[in-house]
Amino acid sequence: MSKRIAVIGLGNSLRRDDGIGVTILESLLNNYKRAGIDYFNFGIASFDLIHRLGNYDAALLIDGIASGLAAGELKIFSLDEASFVKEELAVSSHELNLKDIFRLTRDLGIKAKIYVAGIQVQDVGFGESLSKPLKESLEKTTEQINEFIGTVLKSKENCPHTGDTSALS
Amino acid sequence: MTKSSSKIDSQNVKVDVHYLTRVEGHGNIVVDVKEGKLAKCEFQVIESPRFFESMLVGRSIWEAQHLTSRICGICACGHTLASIKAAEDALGVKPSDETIMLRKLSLYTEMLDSHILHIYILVAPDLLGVKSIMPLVKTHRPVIDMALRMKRMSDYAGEVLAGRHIHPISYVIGGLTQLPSREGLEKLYSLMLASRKDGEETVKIIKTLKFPEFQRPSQYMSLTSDEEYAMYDGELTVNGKKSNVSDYRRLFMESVVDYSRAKISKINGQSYAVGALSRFNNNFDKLHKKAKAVAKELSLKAPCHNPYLNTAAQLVEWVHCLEESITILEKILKDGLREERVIVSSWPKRSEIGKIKYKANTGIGCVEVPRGSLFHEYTIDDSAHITAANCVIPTNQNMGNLEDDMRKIVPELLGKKTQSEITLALEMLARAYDPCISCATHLLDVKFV
Repeated sequence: MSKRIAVIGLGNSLRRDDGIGVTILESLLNNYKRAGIDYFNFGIASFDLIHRLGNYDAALLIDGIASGLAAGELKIFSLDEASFVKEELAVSSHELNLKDIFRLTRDLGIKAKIYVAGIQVQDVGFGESLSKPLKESLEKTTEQINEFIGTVLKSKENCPHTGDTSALS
Repeated sequence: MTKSSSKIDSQNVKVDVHYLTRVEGHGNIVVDVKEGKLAKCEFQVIESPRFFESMLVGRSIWEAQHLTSRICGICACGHTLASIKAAEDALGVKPSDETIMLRKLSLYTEMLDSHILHIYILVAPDLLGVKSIMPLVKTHRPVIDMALRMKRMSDYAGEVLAGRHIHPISYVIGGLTQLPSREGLEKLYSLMLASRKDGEETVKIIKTLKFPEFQRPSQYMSLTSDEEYAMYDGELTVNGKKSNVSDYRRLFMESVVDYSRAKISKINGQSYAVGALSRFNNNFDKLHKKAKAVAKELSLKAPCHNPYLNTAAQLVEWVHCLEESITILEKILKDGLREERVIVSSWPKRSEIGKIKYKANTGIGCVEVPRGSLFHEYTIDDSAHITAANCVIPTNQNMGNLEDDMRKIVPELLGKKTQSEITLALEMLARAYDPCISCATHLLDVKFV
């Protein structure tokens, strides 16, 4: 059975660089759409990710990050590689915030291998255009993410969909 | 961070909840009791202002709903529909009955989605004595699986009805850009039938949980209608007194306070409540019989003056919305949808743009969203561009009522509860209103190890 992969764009496209995940998702769809991959624009929702992740072997979440990198810099990581600065786990957002979603996903036993393509933001003020560094690196960032999707597709090791997630799928 | 104490002191209590968790956005609770007197009692909204109204100015009214659906990740459909209704009012567009039926179905499913999130993910941890949903995954796994299943059903509804599960894309001025597929509607119908059992289980669970006892009669505002439990349309009703939606600016007054970035709203100089409990109080007679039975089982009677029971009212509404949705789906699956009555283009066709005559006008749209009555008002010029916009959000309307509840409950708890118990009581009170303080950006704050 072929691997089930989801590519998910997150962010608010009315808060400048916060919408980078959605912008890159659109760019992937326009330029590099691959058969056999499901693409989702999740906007500012996050809780419903849980349902989707249960359906896939691997998922790539594309989102803006605040990580002290140069603006526009791309960092692709699996959840095992990152820790979150604010570790208190009281659920802090009406929609749960992403770190809580990830923790919940693990606790629920969802087997999907989750990767994050994080792009360092510069400006998340109100507005519809990306900041200059993100705009200038958009094409290259999209290419890099597309290459990563290709490696996930080819990889045999990240196919952990063996658990029972029937309650979530 | 919460400052706590295990010693009961009836004279001096300080509460500084910074920030309140399990609500959307950032808000603080600050209470200071000195020598038995309430010196300070504030719910401080510290989220940055949103400026959505400013963002709308200068934009074509034909795109307003796509912008305003980004105000909220939970009530995206409600904002879309309030926006479309305001635009249709300004443009003089009248949608078909079938379009309105589909819009109502979407509003119902948004209620299903938001209410179950609030009941299980945000409130249940308080009632079970844990800090978040996380411990419940281990201790109450079947219940969490059920909550996720219920959430998945309403999540799917958005996908089928509005083109995608968040930020509706197919709802536009005058109709829809695409019909929901029959296959999708059939699947949604079967998911809803299956959800009845989960609803019944949820009632059994909520019945066993003890909500704090507290009473403060207030003014309860919601839409009402002679026809139905009003959510999409109706008159504005406050404790039996009715007004036209178009008079909303005369009905309540918004004012700014120096400690909060949210406005405080008042009717006749007094705070008022909106949301599930207000709708329940004003519309009880119009509830579906199964929802009435659930209210009885939960000992919830109208009028109810305990704001903590807003959560119970949400469960009653969940049952009502599920049954109404099933009824609508049965009608659609039996009769079908007439494409010519529903489908419109999302934007005037290029060939028509120069021919359309607009007149400068103002339009108002109001719908009930999970947290209460939502208003959008737009003024357009003769090219249909927005020159002024006003959006009144339910959470803002509830802030004054919440503070008045806090002012009443704190003296009642003094000398009986410890500072940390009072703090928890106030946190639970605020969460009961299901406040939606902002549309959060959700940047990941990440360090690599």
